[in-house]
Amino acid sequence: MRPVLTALLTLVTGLVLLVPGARACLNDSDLRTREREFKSDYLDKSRTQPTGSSPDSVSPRPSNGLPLAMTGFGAAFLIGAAVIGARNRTPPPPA
Amino acid sequence: MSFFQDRSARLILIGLAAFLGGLCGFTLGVQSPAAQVSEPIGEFPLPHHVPRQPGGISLRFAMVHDVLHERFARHGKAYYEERNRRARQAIEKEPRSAGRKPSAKYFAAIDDLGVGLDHLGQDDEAVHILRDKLRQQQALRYQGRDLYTTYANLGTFLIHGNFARARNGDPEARRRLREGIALVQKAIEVNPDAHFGRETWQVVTAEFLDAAIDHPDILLDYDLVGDRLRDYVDPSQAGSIHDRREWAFYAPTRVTGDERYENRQEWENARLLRDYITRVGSEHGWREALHRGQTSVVPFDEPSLGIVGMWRLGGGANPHFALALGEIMLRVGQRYIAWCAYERAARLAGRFWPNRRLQEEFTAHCRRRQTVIEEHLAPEEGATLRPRFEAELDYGQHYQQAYEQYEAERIAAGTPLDDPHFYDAFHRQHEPIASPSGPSETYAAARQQVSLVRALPHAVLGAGLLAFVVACGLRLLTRRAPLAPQASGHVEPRTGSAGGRHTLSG
Repeated sequence: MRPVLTALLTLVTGLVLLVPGARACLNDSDLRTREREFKSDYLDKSRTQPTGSSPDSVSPRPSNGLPLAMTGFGAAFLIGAAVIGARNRTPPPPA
Repeated sequence: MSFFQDRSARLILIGLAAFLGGLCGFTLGVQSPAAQVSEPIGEFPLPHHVPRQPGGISLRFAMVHDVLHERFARHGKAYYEERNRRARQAIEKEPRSAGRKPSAKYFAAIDDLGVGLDHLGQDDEAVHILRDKLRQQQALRYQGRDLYTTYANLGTFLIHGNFARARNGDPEARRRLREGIALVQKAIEVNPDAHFGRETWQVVTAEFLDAAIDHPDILLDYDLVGDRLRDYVDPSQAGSIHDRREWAFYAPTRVTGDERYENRQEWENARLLRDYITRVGSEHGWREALHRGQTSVVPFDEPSLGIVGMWRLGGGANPHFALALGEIMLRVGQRYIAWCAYERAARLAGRFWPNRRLQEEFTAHCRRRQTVIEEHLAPEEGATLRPRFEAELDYGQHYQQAYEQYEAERIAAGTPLDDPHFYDAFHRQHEPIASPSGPSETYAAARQQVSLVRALPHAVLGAGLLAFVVACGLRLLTRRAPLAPQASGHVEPRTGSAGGRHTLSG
């Protein structure tokens, strides 16, 4: 029983130590330097190189497949319609 | 003879139907996305490049990418131990007498010592010396902004030192945790614009975690800014600009070349552009779930910058920060960075909450989000995500280790911390660690136009469909109509006799 309790206690203590509060705003003599460096690291225009996803863009790239299919089907239907319309009804063969 | 049996009439009708169908198809085609053509007119910064304050810092996606991969320099234990030693010396050297105002260096040394102790995990001592500093300042009738660093540091130390105990049910620790939150709020009141609004998000984070002590399941419903975790988010429909058409109209005229906005007038001209930033947080049910704190939607760059600041300048990696960055980046369409944030969050799951079920469900959520992102990427790109992430994280962590080791060696060699050339040798040996900004930081503005040519396939399809339907309809009608006698006179009348056939001949 005792080893089990010891193990449990160790586990709980370990977990408690592992979970930190979200550390945040510390004001010391180093802060201004760090913030200045932070700003110049990222706002310096000379530093550009691909990072992250593609640029925000508004131009959707047109695909060729769908328009071609639409045109093809449309033309086929037109031809079909013309053929059906042009054909006269043939009289039934005489008995 | 029936009208429908006349070939010319039928062809005219079919032609009219084709014309009508074509017209309808063309009208629909003009409105379809395929017919919308955009003519590039240039690349512009994004609206979140305009800072909240003139001269303030504005977000870059590279900043988020870098904290997730630890691509920044961090002081090590040796640095804080040495600085604490020097701070104690400075405090002891300060001449003290009743009513005498201490030097600014004296109070700065107390802040340094407190922060150093906090970094070394000695929060109780840090709280003790900051309480003492506050008493001294109040005795000297310090007010307002003069008390800013004391409020901010004391509040932070109280939060750090008491959170774990408060979560385990210690009522006194819970009281001190809330005292800490109230002190940071006071710091914001006396100096609202400090550190690009980071403290606001520190309070939001602390209040969220405080609420989770009573209701841990809130951690599976929302991130710390109030983004719902159970909602589906389609990253391909998301972007960092919430109205791209309007932005495309305004961007060329309002955005200046100076992205730092040091000039107040330039910033005033540009600040309305911040209205185009995609907003996040405080989603459905958040207000009722939290009962306090941040309860309105905000431009996504504000919590992002706050979290980046807390990560870099505070306690470093944290699953709650990684999760919030993932949710925010997902909502602005930054799929790669969001994927990395979930990966980092899942790897930090052991520190999410001391509850196995919550940790497992948290990890499962991160994996689900990653799957959604991967579904929106090319298969070959999805396969490279994890190896890339691991290589980047390894690079960042090795850099931080090297930085800390360098500091320890220099300190051991007797180099004073305030030597302006302290880090020179390190920077000569290492490339700059911050990632350069990439194409995701620009907006490719374009002028929208309608291409009539691109509407033609719709017109052809419409014409064909309607013509075909009409032709079939006419055919049916013709079949039902009685066959008209032929005009030539060569009619073959049927007789009553079975099988009889008579030919009328001249």
